[in-house]
Amino acid sequence: MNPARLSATGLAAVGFIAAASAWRLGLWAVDRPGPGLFPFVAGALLLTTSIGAAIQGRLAQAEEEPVDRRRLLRYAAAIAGFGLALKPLGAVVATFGLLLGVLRGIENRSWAHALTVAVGLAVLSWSLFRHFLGVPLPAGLLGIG
Amino acid sequence: MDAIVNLIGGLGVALQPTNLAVAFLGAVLGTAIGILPGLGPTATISLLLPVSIMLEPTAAVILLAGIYYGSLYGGSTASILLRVPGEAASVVSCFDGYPMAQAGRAGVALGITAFASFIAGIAATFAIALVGPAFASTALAFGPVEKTALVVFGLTLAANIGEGPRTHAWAMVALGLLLSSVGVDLVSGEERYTLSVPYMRDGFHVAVLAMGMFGVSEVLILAERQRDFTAALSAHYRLRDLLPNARDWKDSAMPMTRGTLLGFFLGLLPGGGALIASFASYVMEKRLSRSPERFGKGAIEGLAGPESANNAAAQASFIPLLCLGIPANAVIGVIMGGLLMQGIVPGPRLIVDHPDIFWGVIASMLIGNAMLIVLNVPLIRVFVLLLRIPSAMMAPSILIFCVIGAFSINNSLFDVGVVTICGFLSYGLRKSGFDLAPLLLAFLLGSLLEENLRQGLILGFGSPVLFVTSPISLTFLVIAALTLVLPLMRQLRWRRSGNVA
Repeated sequence: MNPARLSATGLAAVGFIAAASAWRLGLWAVDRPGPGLFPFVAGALLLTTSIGAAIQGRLAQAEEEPVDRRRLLRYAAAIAGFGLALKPLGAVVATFGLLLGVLRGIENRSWAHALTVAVGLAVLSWSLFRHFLGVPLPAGLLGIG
Repeated sequence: MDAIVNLIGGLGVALQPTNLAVAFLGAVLGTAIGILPGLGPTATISLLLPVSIMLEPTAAVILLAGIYYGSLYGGSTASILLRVPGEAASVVSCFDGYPMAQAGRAGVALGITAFASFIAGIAATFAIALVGPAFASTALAFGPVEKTALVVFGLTLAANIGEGPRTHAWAMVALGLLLSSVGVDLVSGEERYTLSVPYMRDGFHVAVLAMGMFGVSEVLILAERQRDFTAALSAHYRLRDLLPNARDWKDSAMPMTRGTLLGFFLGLLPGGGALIASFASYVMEKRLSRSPERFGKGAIEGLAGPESANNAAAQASFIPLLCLGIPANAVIGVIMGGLLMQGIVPGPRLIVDHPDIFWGVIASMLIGNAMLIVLNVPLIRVFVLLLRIPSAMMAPSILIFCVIGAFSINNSLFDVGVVTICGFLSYGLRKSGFDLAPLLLAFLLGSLLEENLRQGLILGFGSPVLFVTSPISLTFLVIAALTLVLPLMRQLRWRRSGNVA
């Protein structure tokens, strides 16, 4: 099954489940629409169009260069890791760790380059959000929030 | 005459120091992200939504609007110098801009695109001032029935004009409508799709979804391969080279005029916008040309027309947003999200209830375009240096902005999870050939559609007959049906003739 068919099948399943739970909410109440009517119509539309898309199974336009899957997976891990580390480590340490990991581990920059950029951008983003925008950030390990 | 008086009043608002500063910031950011391949206006505006909450509503929209039309000035630069469009609407600029640069006319190509954008931008601003109030006063007569039909019409166009096959676009519309219904139903108090998670009771936040859809997924697209854009830095041009000569102006004058008119008209349509306008203008100029064989080989008409069209369309698409409350495309959809976050519901009452926002934003387009011509002609060399920034730094920076930005909206780690998961899923959808623009538009219009549909049905005592007895509603629904059926019929006829051949 190609990725287009897989996505379309997943969407069809979402449409089916959504329509079924909307049905349970009630489509009609005496002389007026119930809370389930609108999501039922949306779910049914998603189900039918996704089945159509799965049958077509067409992918996005062919790309000129191949995708570097190893690199992509590493970036995906970095994104997930950053989201998970934000609370326990705090925004400053998580940002520093993300940048160091990406620049050194994925982009093969020198330690000096990676460390300088990581410290610089971590401090810059913290100052921007904390001081310029006044957002209280997760404090974490260092207690800087 | 009223329009001019109001526009002058709007200039008073736009010239206030804060508004002037954010217009400048929007112009600079717009040009910068336009030049940088990868980071488009939708992603940038999504990233800046949390920042825009800190500003006054007028300043926020001036900033976001400036980024949008500024990106169209900058977008063509990478197309001309590298044949890599800085953003989607600049794809057409590659066709003739890149061959011009190869033939040693990079300066003129950059110059004419800036002038074409500027002329179209100024003309479109005056046209908005003239046409906008008429649109709004017509729409004031709309009740729930007419509004429902208008939104259905808007969604039909969005699904038809979006990229990729129509079934895919309709699936995205359906998903957007479904996502808009997540949370507590305001009429019955029933929880819908909340999975008993308290954070889900208020539904999804538009900024969090937009940052995931266009920001985090963009990081993954950038991560697919290493990129190097330093080749663009080798093109040499002086300020004098950027100025088109008399012949260039003569060849470009009519394409610019036609492009502005066509772009303005296409920008008004829900589902329209800069991308379609630039393609339509290119096709039109090629058809009208006495020597169409020059197109694709460096014809200045093929650059001037589409550049005018995309800027005129971008600005015209503010009319459906500010006067009808209907976002014409994804970028405008995100800007609508910015307005909603400020507690301002765009629609026909905006011009009456918040004239400072309406006229201030329109007038700021005059100032923004004036700033952009300076930034994009004498200072273009400075901006081209941005291509030195390695994507190694861009991708994590976008991610930091998305994740911390999502957290900042409600100080909630739940939103961090939503933005991340939404980013991964959006990447999967993009790679599977699904265009995300109809999804975002349907999400934004979903609650408006449901509310008006329910009111319309209640008004008709449960019967949908009012939707066909109201002439305005019927007109919108018939056009929507035609928009659905006509392309299918054309496809059928084409298949049949193909079989015969």
